Amino acid sequence: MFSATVFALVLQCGITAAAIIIMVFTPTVGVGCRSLGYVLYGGIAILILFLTIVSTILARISETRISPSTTWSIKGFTGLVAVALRRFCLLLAFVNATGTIVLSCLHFSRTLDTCYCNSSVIGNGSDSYIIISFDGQAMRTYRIRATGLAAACIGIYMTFLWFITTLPKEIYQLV
Amino acid sequence: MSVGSPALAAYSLILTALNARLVYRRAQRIEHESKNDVTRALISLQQTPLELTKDDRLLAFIPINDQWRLEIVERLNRRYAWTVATGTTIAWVIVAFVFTLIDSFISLHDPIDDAPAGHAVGTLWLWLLCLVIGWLWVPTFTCGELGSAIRHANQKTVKKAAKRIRLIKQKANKAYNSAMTKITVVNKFPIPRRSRRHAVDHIHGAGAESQHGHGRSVRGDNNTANSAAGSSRFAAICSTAVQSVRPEMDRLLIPKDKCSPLNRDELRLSATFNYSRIMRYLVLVDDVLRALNRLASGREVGLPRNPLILEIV
Repeated sequence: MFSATVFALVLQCGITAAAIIIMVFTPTVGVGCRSLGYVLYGGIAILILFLTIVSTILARISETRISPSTTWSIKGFTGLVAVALRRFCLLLAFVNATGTIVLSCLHFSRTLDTCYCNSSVIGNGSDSYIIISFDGQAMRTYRIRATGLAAACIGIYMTFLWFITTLPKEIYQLV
Repeated sequence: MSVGSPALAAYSLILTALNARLVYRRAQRIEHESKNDVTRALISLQQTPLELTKDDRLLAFIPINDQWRLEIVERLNRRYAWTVATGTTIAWVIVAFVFTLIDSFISLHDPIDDAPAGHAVGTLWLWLLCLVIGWLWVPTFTCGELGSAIRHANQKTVKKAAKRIRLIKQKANKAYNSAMTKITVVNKFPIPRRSRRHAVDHIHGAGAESQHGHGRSVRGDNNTANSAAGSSRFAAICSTAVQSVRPEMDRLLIPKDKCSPLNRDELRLSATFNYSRIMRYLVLVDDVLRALNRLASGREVGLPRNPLILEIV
């Protein structure tokens, strides 16, 4: 369970972080609409993971207790919280998924190509500026690094998965 | 759900793979003929809510079950294998992403171009590729598929059992007829209905016994004599016939043909919902493997009184 959590986090954080880096260091440097969207997306995804793990543990606690005579008990309470958390996670995941898809669509339809977004007002506040002409060299290094980060995370995840999935052939062969 | 939280899907995927490994390692220590089948079933059914049951009225309990087991295991074995279609799709996605990257680096000096959007969004969705490939590696089986597999296996088994029973009946009829001729010849009296029944039952038992050489075959005979209802008679014959075929069959991995409404909301998430049942799954694995170990070490001779049967909750 622990290593599963760790590797899941590696994948999620690596990929989201790479996307965020690309967006933040694309001039104008700073947290803008797009990168804020990514931060929220990654954050909610990780929150969902943790809430679900908590829900699993609570459900287990509820399962193992003997059913009591009183109305209020650990069994009943943990069971209730577990189910509530699970439902809440489902709702959150739905919202998050919709949000991501909408964000991607906004990107490509250039709805976010406004002065407010391009100058990263959210991050820079009153210091924000807008680019008229610039030299892309600094940006290149960041992009290469971000792509490298994403690739490395995917590499780690897939290698681990490959190692643990390779079971002897007799388990899968037909009878 | 997995679009909303790729982390959760990744977590579920890794859990599935880790569990498979665990089950395999633990099962390796057991020496039993159905070891591989049990391992396979436990691995493939991770996404299905399973529970142990002691209900012995299931069809699967009837020890004709080689057939049944074969059917199920064959279905379980089906992985989402690599096909040309999946391979092409994945390759196509990778190619598209590479083009996006190239575009992103070429248009570095153009502030108006929105290429970084493509780059960032592409990166953001890369997890999808990992998970798709991952689920292709890990064998899974959802509750709906299991249901259809069970129905299929049930039908086949019943057909086979019916065939066997017909054979036994024919033999018994022959024996009955010859016995009747003998009796009539000897006695020259009409035989009362009651003793005729007895004769039939006796012959049934004897027929089954002589055919398969097992003393246990007479169990259903009292029922046969007492109940006039055709169905229960059929059931009794069925159990008799079938028990005499192979009494030592193990009865470990037998799911019931239903998914209860209690877990509907879990079932809807069936692709990645094993995380919510991980503890229960581990306990189940432990129970099943210990039972298998007991069977293997021969501490339970003959038919175990409470055979372990897996059931979908």
